[in-house]
Amino acid sequence: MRRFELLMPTSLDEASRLLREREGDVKLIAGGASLLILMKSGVYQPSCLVSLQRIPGLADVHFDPGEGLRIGALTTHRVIERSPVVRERLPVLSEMARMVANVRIRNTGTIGGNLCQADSHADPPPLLLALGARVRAKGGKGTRTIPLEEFLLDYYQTALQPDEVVTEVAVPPLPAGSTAAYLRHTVRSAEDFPCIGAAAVVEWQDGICRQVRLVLGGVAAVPQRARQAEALARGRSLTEPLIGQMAEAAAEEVEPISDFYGSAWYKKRMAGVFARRVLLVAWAQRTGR
Amino acid sequence: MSGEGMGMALEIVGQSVPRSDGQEKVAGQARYMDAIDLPGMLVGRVLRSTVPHGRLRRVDAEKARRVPGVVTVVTGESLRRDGRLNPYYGPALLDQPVLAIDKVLYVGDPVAAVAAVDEESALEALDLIEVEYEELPAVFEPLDAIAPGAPLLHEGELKPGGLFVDLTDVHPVPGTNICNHYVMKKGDGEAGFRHADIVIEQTFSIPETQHYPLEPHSVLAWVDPSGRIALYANTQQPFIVRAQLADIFQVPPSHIRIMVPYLGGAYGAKCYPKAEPIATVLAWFARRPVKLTFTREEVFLTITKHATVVKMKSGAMRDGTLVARKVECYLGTGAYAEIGPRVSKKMGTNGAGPYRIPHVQMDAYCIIYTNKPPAGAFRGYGLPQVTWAFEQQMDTLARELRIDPVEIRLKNLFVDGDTFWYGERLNALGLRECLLKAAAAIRWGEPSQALPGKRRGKGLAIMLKTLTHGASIAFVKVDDDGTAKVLTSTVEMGQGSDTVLAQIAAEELGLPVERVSMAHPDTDFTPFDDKTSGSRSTVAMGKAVLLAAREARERLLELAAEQLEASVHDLEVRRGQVRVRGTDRALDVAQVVRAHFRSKGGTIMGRGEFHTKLAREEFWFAAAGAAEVEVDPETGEVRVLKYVGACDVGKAINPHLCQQQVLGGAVMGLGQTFSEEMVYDHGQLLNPSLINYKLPAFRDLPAQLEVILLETPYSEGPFGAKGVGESAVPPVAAAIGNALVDAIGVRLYELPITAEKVLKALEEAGGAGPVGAGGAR
Amino acid sequence: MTPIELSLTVNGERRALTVPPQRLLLEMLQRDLHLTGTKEGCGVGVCGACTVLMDGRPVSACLVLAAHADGHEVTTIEGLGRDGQRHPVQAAFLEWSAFQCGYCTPGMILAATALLQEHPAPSEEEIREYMSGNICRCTGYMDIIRAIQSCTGGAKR
Ligand SMILES: Cc1cc2nc3c(=O)[nH]c(=O)nc-3n(C[C@H](O)[C@H](O)[C@H](O)COP(=O)(O)OP(=O)(O)OC[C@H]3O[C@@H](n4cnc5c(N)ncnc54)[C@H](O)[C@@H]3O)c2cc1C
Ligand code: FES
Ligand code: FES
Repeated sequence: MRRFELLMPTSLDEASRLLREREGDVKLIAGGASLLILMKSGVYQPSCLVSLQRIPGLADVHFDPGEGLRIGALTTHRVIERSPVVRERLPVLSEMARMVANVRIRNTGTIGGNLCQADSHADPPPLLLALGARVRAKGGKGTRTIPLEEFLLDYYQTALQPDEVVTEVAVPPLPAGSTAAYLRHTVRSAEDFPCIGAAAVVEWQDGICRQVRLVLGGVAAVPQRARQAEALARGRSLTEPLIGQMAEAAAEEVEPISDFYGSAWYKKRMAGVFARRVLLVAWAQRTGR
Repeated sequence: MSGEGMGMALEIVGQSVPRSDGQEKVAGQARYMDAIDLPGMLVGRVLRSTVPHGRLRRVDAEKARRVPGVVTVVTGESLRRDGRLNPYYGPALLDQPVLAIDKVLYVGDPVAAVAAVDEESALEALDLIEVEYEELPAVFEPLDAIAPGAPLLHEGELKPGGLFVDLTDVHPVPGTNICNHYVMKKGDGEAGFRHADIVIEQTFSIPETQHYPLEPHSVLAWVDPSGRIALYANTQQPFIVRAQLADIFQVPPSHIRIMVPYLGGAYGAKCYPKAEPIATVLAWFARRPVKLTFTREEVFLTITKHATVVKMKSGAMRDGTLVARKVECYLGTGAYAEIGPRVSKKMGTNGAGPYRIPHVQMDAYCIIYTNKPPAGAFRGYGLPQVTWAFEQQMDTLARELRIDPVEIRLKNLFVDGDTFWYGERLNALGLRECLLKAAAAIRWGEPSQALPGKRRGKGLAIMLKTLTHGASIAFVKVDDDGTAKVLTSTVEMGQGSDTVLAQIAAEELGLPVERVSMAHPDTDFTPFDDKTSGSRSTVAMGKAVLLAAREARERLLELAAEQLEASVHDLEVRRGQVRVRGTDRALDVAQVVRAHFRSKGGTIMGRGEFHTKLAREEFWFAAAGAAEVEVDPETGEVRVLKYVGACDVGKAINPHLCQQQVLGGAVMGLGQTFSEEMVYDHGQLLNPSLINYKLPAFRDLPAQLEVILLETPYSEGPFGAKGVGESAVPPVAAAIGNALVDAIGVRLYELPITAEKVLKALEEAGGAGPVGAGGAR
Repeated sequence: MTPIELSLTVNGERRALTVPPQRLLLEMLQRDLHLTGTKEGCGVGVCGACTVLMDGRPVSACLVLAAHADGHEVTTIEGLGRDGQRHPVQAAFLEWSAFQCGYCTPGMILAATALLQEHPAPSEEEIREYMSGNICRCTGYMDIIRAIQSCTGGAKR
């Protein structure tokens, strides 16, 4: 690898200051799983890296009745996968974390790094978006909280300011009686980013579907919410034909982009198939079928 | 007299003895190139072309030379200016410069090389080399490259490599990108087709893929004060690389010494010169040891498996009897011929399939230059490509004629006594048995039961491959402590040659296998071997080792006969003891050696050699594959429920290792079938790493993977053995392609079989599953 | 570039060393500590040839900065056996000849060791899933599965 300088601040303020001082020629490094690949291939050649690893308190996971699960940015996928709090409060998040990459990458790759990388085929974004997660970031101008929908802007682009560091992801508690599911569809090998990731969160009231959030990852630059499909179900009881209609609507409204994982045509088809499948899972959880 | 000759019960051959390299390998102590360093060693790095075809207007390395830590920067121009070197090499044609001269021919063509004290300085230097290209029109697909008006890659006349007798007939077609055109004819093709009840014509295609050994190419080269050149290199062919380097440096081959440690896999990727010319040139200019290890991306840009288009036409009678076949293969060999001409020959020889066909016309085996990385030897030498075609065509015929696919193959396949294309008598094939066993193992004829919403089907494929030409020589020395060392230049790259060759020697010498060890290749001291590839080590080198061991054994027995005062004919050696048969008069082999030399030291030697007769196909190895698949008609996903690989190995010297060869070959075949493909955009490789080039992983394995070994002894092979390194690979894709048709009624012609292609084909055939429950089409 | 000072435990031994900032854990093991049993097969986290255990957990040494191993405990293939004795997983790989070229083997053995720590008696499904991030290009995997099963009393030769 090419030479660079490595700075290891011990506080967020210091990190943010270093980012400001070196603006343009500096990168934060968390686990390094994504960043180092891009540096090896020469896509990025920053002369300086600022490591987050010595900043205390960034890897905690706890439950806060108001804000829900608060997951520190440096929390690894593996910790989310195995965390008792996550398993208790949001088992779907733990199940999703287990599908990310392989066990080694899950041991070093962090949730903050994953979101900041803003890879269009990553697993966490569609589910976290369906769950209404918010990203907290700290920079020179203080701390702000950004809904994930506004955080992810484009391929590899987020709403972060150059001197901001993501400190945590907050996932609100599921309303009582909700169910949530995530499915991924790999096409080249099981050891791959998903071609499509599909997440559904359904809020139930007396057997009626009060609200659905249906999100599809991998189809476009950022995860797509299938709002028309969601609208179809609002206030109705789910049936297989209704889920079928929702799937069709979802396929209809996404505008996929062709890439390594499939053509626009294929992804549109899979958007429908996996919208249906993920809704069926969320429905089955509710009915216990 | 020998164990083999007398048909005595075998003690070591036929046993799954533990691998001799096992202890080192599980301890992480086995020495590969990454553990070999020299004091003062420099690090080499290569600058590569960023355009697919262009003239080099300017290569300016001045700034790079000034980077602290940089010792040498070499360009094509410096090679030419120096004048002492011949910068062109190539096993078939001298068409490849060590570093680009005047022109670059693909994205990744080496342009300049740097040797520096560390990697960082070398990289900094690479960044500072200024290159100006004048881009030329480029051509990427073989069929485009032979279209009229296609840009020419090699403009001048190309000299033959002069290395191999079987390649003396390689001739580029002047004014075209065709670097070799291989023709083979039997009977009268057109008449055959006129006669047929049914004629089928199909076109198949196979993309470039990678061998992807986990270990990249790596070389440590130095020039000693006397001017001799030495290298550690992870090559499958030390002697051939030595010959090529000798031509480059204009020195006798013996001025170059090549030593080969363990290889971390090869599969054909480490045949012929790879990193050696650049590394050696760097060391030669730097006058210091230079280690050059290719990055992963560079490995992708160094060698591929040939992308191929196969046009195949077959005529058959109503009862399934084949009467005529016409095959055209268009191999894209990339920017340099490499060993492509031999791949095309092998593909030609085996390309009509292992069937009796009176009229065969393989009239256009073209091997075509394109602006892509060079393609060369890949496990199976052309068979993986062409089997995808002929075995799918066989199934098509069976379906059209409503004949069972096994039946139609049985009706046509070669059996012992048939005549092969050049007139040789086929013998010891085992092809029919492979087919029948594989079919039985997959429960051929019993319908598959699919889960609701899924579809299942079965398919099979067979193949027959010939041995590659070459010579192998072995020495066996028995030392005064009763141990034996076997000196060969066979490369242990994972196939288990160290273990198997030691078993052969131990069996023949009558020594416990632990008392036999193998030397690793060192061209100064181990005898010549053509190559470790083409499934030839067990049979060709195995035979040489057997003969060498036999000679040493005979000498031992002569000595023991004197010492024991018995007739040689009454002696036997087993488990390290020479014994007068039926008595307890015995001497340990160690005692025999010592007594002869009347000292604590002494060595008994034996020598053996094996070579194939020219242009003759000496022996054949057969294989079959059978698959059961399950298709999800909504997504197009294909899951292999069961795969069976059946291979005839002649004699399994070490059954466990043979089984593993078949398993490994089958899984490699699965990768070629489902996921492996190099993807380019205007000659730029888009997936030069495992992030987007997908190899099969544990979770991609079939639920069941079964191996069947058959043993139809080959009279010339050691203990009847044939090769097994390649045979499991070729049938996989076609067996799965055929199973797909059985499951969903659609055939794919283009590899790899992706979920998307399956869904698209299903859709076109009107059989895709619904999206929503109501079916959103 | 300011070099980085590290102190960590490698195979049970405390080590203090100074490395350039861009040093990767894999390079540090191979070049600075001459522990060449850890292999590089892809450099991008996919193949697992570089698997080492950091505080008992498998990681890709090719994608970890050496600086990030500061203060941690690293186990490589060289440190797996104790007192010259083979670790049971090494013994099982040997027994089953669960390798050919051997380039994936150190990583496979470490990954399998971590798996067995977590699930002392994994099913074949669990083995396939946990190990799936370790690529073997040679063996076709089946003998590796059997070797791991044999550690739990599963497969018998
Ligand atoms: C082999 C492999 C397979 C993978 N498979 C999957 C998969 O299947 N699904 C999936 O979702 N992901 C997958 N990934 C991606 C993986 O999840 C991410 O690499 C990982 O989560 C990134 O985390 P990191 O801590 O390593 O980030 P880093 O590599 O350290 O950083 C990534 C980017 O985020 C920035 N960054 C990191 N942390 C912060 C922060 N706190 N604040 C601001 N910016 C920050 C960095 O500057 C950098 O630009 C895979 C990766 C690999 C290598
Ligand atoms: S070398 Fe690190 S995972 Fe492949
Ligand atoms: S043994 Fe060669 S890669 Fe696994």
